[in-house]
Amino acid sequence: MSQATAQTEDDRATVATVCLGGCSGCHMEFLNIDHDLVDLLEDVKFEASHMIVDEKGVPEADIGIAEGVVTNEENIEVAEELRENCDTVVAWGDCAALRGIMSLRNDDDPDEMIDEVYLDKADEESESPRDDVPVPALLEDARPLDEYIDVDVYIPGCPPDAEVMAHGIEALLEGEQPEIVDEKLQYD
Amino acid sequence: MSKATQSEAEPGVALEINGQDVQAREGQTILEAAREADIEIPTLCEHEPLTNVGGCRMCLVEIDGKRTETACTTTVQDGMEIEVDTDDLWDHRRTILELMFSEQNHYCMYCEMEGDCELEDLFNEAGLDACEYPLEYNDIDVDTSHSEITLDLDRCVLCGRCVRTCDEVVGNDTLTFKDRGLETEIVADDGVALGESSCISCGACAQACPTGAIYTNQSAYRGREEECDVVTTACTECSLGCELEVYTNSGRIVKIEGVEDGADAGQLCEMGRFGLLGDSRERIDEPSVRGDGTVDTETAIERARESLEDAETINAVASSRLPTEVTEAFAASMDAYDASLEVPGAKRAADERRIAEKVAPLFNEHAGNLRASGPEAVLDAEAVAVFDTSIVDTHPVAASYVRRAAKDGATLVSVDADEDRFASKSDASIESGSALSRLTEDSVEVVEDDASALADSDTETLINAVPALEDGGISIIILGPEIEEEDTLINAYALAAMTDSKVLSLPDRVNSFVDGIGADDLHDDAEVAYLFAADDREDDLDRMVEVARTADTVIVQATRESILTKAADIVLPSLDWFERSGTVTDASGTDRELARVLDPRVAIDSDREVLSELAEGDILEVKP
Repeated sequence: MSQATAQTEDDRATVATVCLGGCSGCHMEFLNIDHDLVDLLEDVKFEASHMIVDEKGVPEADIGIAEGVVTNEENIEVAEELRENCDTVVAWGDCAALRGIMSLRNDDDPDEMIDEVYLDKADEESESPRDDVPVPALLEDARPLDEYIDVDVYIPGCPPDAEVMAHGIEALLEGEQPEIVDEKLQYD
Repeated sequence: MSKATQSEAEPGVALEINGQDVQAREGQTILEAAREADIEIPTLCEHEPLTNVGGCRMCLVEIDGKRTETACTTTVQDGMEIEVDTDDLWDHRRTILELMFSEQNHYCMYCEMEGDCELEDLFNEAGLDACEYPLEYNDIDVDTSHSEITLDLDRCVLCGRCVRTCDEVVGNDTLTFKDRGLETEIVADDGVALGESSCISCGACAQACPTGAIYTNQSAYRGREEECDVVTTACTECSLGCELEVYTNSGRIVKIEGVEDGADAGQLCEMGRFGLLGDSRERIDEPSVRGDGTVDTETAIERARESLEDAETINAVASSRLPTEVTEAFAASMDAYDASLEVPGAKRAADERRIAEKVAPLFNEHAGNLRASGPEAVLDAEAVAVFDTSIVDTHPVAASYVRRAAKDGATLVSVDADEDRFASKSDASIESGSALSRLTEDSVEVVEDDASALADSDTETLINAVPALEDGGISIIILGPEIEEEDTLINAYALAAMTDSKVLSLPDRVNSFVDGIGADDLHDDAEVAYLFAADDREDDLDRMVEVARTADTVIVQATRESILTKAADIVLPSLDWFERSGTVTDASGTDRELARVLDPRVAIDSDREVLSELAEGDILEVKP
């Protein structure tokens, strides 16, 4: 990129993506748009997206995208920041849209579950990440994004196809509501 | 009960569906009329072979702009104007689907049915991309107690297709609803684990289930239906010859299902649906000769031919699972060496033919053909007498017809030396050997002497033993596989002739009916035994093992290794059930086609080719 280009004003739309209680599978799948990512970058600037940009916060952006379910206290904060900092919010994947696989824990007691995983099934050195350990506390239930913030676009799928996620962004760039129907609407 | 109306030729009804003129027949449901006009109405609890209950509300339609009704339970009326796809209706449907979604685990990506699931399709059609309702996550354990069928009620939408299938198609009433409202669940019997229930493992519930709530273990996660090839062939595990839809993917069998629009309504039995998939014995790929190990096919056949040529006495036994063409080729081939040939069941078939011809006119000169047209004829019967209730195990699909007839009000009389396997469904259980012995003696006397003996016999006892057969309009007598004694056969056919009943005779397997083949008496000791075992297994092999023991040289043609092949001097490979083609004749005398499902991957491509070479080209054309 030449000095001259860099100095001109960047009028690309901005996108910030976050991963809540998810496996990053949606983000991984998104990269499967492959070379199309290069074309997309002509119109879109990723302000945050943990697989392509080194940015830990939730910056302001035109489009905010969340993968994953809301399963701990930090997820709520990040989700609320996303809503506040972005004009349009998109839920990527079954977890963000419909709760997904993480919600299978909902009929277990969170404390018992944590002890089972970090104490009972680990070695003697292991500590339980509750009480004084500074990690986000688990919520009673894992819940979908729209139980905490307003969501404008839902793209279910586990993961959704890369092309469908890209289509979602492209439609929003055109000022349209993406139509996630027929073969674009999937649950696996 | 909306099904019975389809075939009746009633005056036409004119209506409009989605603005399209539709001609329907009086008594048809809106759903039936729409389907005939190629108009799609979404359904979930509706399933072709079953009674409609209007439970899932997916088929709600708007009638005359005023009311909404379920299309599967509402009959057409002249002038109806019906809308299927209004926004309101789709809002209703989506709300119901969201409620279903919120109640259980309907995440597709780790579900066995993903891709084949009717609920997933409806979610998609309704555009369900978020769910307004909080998740009511119930902690429901998966029931893995059954060896073949898994019950994952966390994926159950309570459409009741399994319950209705178990009731209406199988007649077994194992699955049922328990509790009401939100508490409703599907249970086996009074709430026991499926593996400990009265389930007969037919798997019809799994075939009927629209979601991943009931699935079969052997076929789970082996491939989606849309990625499979389907070949229809006939089952040779018993003499009913049920049609099998065999799903294959990349040269392996994924699953076996029953034909839903056929008479059996998708029903198969444990043997047909699961047993055929589960034969894990080592396959015999190549011929072998004792002492020489593996040899090529020509050498093995040459050695077999030498043994047969040198022998004074030869005993031959053929599996009763083989296609008629192969049995005939085997008979011709053995005939070339003057061998005595036995096919299990052939003797009984020959006896029956003789008895039927002789007995019927003695008792009723108008008797005509006594043979029932097929097991489905049982459904129309008002009285059914079953001689040998072991058909519950040996011919489970026929047993289902019997239970269904009994549930529909037919009188059921069981005649058995042991336990009456129809137990609670029987109106009368006669222990053969007690009340029946009178009947048998009387009948035999009549047959052996002449018809006038009937006047002297205790006719009243005879009739009293089976009043239902006498009174009923249509009546059927079923003969199970254990009915082999001539006396009992005579008795049964005499009874049939006297009471104008039809006989459904159920020998062990299909090709017991190949005319005049396999009814020879075997030699006590033969020099050579040629045992065409094919894929026979377990008890089926007992007779062949017995024959092998008395022979000096044993030649076995078999699909898989067994105690028999271990005892053999020469082993030739044979096709498996899914590689065979040809015809078999079922219990009602109907020919059924066996179609090759997969190409053989063993040293031979055709059983008939081997037999043809064995007889040095004596057999005519060679087909696989």
